[in-house]
Amino acid sequence: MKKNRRRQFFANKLHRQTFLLFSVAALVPTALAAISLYYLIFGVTANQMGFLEAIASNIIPASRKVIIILLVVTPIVLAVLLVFAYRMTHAMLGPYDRIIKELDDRIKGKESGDISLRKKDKFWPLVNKINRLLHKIQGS
Amino acid sequence: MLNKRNIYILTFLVVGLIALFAYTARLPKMFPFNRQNALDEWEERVFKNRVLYSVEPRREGGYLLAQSKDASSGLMHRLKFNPKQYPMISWEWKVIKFPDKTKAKQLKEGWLEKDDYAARVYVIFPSWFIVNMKCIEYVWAEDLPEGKIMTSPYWKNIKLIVAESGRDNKGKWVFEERNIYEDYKKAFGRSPGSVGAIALMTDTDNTLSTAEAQYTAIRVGYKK
Repeated sequence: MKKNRRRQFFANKLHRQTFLLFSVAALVPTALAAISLYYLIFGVTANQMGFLEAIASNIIPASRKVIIILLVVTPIVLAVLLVFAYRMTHAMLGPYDRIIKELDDRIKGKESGDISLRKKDKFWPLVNKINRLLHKIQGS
Repeated sequence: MLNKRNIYILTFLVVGLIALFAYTARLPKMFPFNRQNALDEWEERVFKNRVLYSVEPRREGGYLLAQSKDASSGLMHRLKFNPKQYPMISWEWKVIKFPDKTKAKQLKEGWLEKDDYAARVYVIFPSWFIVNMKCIEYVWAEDLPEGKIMTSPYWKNIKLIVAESGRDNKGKWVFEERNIYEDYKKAFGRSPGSVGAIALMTDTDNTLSTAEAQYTAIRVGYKK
């Protein structure tokens, strides 16, 4: 049985598109929410205070703390989220091309036997059914 | 052809132009303090206790009187203009009583404890990102040389410029005229953005003393 190793960062076009969509869906709302909250809390309060002495004494220290927390926590959370998203989408969409290629090879008679996937790949139930179907066709 | 779509676009443009016109201040803006309700166009902002601001309206020579006792609050007027285009601001002020800084000097050496002035005129440069907000404050300081530019003990984005110095003119009306654009460049080393507000303050919260000053004939946003 051949080992299935995918060396490209993205397994296929569908994987790249899905991962990018997921990344944008995570990053854009986070950025918008952060900017909106920043404006709502600090911008409006500063505007109401008006005098920079009052802003410097009250808002700037709080703002600095929030910015530091955001700068430290947000990249970590996003990085973890994106790693999980990459692995999940890879496991789901990576086998897609593999199944198509293996089926093509069997239709053309280049290969025979079971189609195999990597352990962590999704769609094992589907591949098992295809393998059972292939056995049935070969047996008839 | 005036179809429904064009009417919507036209309405949108007209509303936009009106909003833009309303947002841009009509310059130059004058504050002669010659009406009883002259303070209606100023917003009060309290920092520590309230300074008593009152208008003494007269047809000629009306003024704003500020009396502070252990207090720090100011009056702000919002107006937006480009200081490169309209760089000048002028006003008249009179100090009746300076805050007593001798007690503060004895108590502590830090100059936050001495950061009280009988009269200040602020020019505020707002920014969407609050750490970029800046302001210059023209102060009448009895113990600092005229023209001195200092950084506020509160924040590096606040620069104080001594516009009038000493006690020689105490009790007399003194006229000041400043170029906001040039002063900003001297203070911060770069060109300013739009002015967002001007403000006045007489404060004695750090020295825990009393001060009294008068302001009048404020004129802002003009070319010389």
